[in-house]
Amino acid sequence: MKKHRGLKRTFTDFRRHPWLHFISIFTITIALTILGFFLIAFRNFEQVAEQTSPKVTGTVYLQNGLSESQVRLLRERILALENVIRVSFKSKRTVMEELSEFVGGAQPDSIAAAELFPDVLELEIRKDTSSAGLIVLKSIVSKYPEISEVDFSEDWLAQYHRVRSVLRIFGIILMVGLLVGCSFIIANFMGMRHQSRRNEIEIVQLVGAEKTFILAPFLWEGFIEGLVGSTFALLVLYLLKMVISFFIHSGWATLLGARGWLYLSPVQGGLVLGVGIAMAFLGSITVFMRFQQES
Amino acid sequence: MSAKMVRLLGVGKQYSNCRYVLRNISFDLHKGEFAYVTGVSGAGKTTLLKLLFGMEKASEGQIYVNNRDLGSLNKNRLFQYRREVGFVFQDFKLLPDLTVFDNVSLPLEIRNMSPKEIDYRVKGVLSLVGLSDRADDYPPVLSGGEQQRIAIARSIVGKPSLLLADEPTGNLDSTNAREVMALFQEIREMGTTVLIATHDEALMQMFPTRTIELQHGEMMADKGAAK
Repeated sequence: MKKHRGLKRTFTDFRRHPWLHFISIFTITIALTILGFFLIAFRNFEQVAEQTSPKVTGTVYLQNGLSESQVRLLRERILALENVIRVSFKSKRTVMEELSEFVGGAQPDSIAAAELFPDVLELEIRKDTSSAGLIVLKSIVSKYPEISEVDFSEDWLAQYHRVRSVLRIFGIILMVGLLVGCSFIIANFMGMRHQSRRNEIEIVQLVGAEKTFILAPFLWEGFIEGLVGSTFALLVLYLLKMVISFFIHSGWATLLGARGWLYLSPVQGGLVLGVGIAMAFLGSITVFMRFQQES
Repeated sequence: MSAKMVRLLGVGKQYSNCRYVLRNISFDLHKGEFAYVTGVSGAGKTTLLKLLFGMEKASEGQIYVNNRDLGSLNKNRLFQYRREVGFVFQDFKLLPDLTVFDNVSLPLEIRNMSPKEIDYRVKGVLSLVGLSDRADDYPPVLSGGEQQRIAIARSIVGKPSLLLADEPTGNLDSTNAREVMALFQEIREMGTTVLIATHDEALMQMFPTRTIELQHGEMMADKGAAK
């Protein structure tokens, strides 16, 4: 019964002060749209980084004179190793042909040092393999007696991972800052708004209202405004996503991949909704408590 | 002699700047009694009413209302006490965004009464103060006298045993002031103890009753007190 009365008083107040509530919802929507847009940008940046991340390969030079069965067994052993996706064999002839094509179509036999090229195994390695994982893999493979030399792209790959993690950390710090900023804006705005209702709280207290009676409509208001404001923010972000997708689809298609420009993930969407409700809610409680202490 | 509604024993109020606004005030008010607290501005009338309403705590002495020691009343129990006491403020303290009906029904809403009971009681007090036809209006469109009567209606709708009024006629013209005073007499006749702070000599002569006179925070006289 009391809960319904609190809700009823809340809706009465929405009717009495439509502009005040509109501005509250608008503030929440703007703050969360900024936050959400950054989350979308972060997610798409991650996707582009994933899409453009280099293929990790390794080249294994074999000893001369290995039989076909030895090569096949070696391939199977390497393929069984962690992080190895594919192992393909290239004979010295194929290597020479490729080299010949590269140097302008010279006949393989005419290349003086043709016989110096060994047979090779080309390894495709999982993209998310860490630098340490690569080093371990390289040390295992290089110990096989059938192998004369191993060449992995671990150095520049480590560099690539380092740059990417620095960017990711930077993005997370920015996001946390933005989250705190948005929370601050919403909570403070709710605070300012409730300050304007001090008179009302004072009068209700003077006629004998208990805390819960006074607090109930503020909490409902905070909850409803947070919910509506964050829902609007999600809608605005979806519209923005549609517009962005429309304009950049052709130019960035390769970078963005088949999924195109992404919207918020369910977790990110939940975060936007949660921040909106929690901050508007907490803003209401904080101001009420402050007022209680003062009175 | 009827039972005591209010009892003050050596009550004093001192603010942090060490100045006494009230000192050594002692008097009793019986149930159903009507009395004035009078004195010039700054005499301590409003402070005395605030002490009786629990808006301030006495620095010295004891205050009992309906055998309840206000000194031992903590903040969490204050709301219950305020439901037993009505207060009419000089500046009315009405909520401008609520209708007359909603303003008057506020003390009943907080008691969680049924809508039917609220409707019955609010219509009753609005009829008593002569504003039945203004129930759907908002306070800003009412005259000062009408607003004061709404404030009185709100203060008595919860059937308080004690009604305190701080300069209730201070913002009213003489006609409205007389009507409001007549209303207080009616309320007293219904059994409510009424204590009015005023410095309006003319009104006090028109409705003579017991008068407690304050000067510089001290009680100078208690005229017409029951022996």
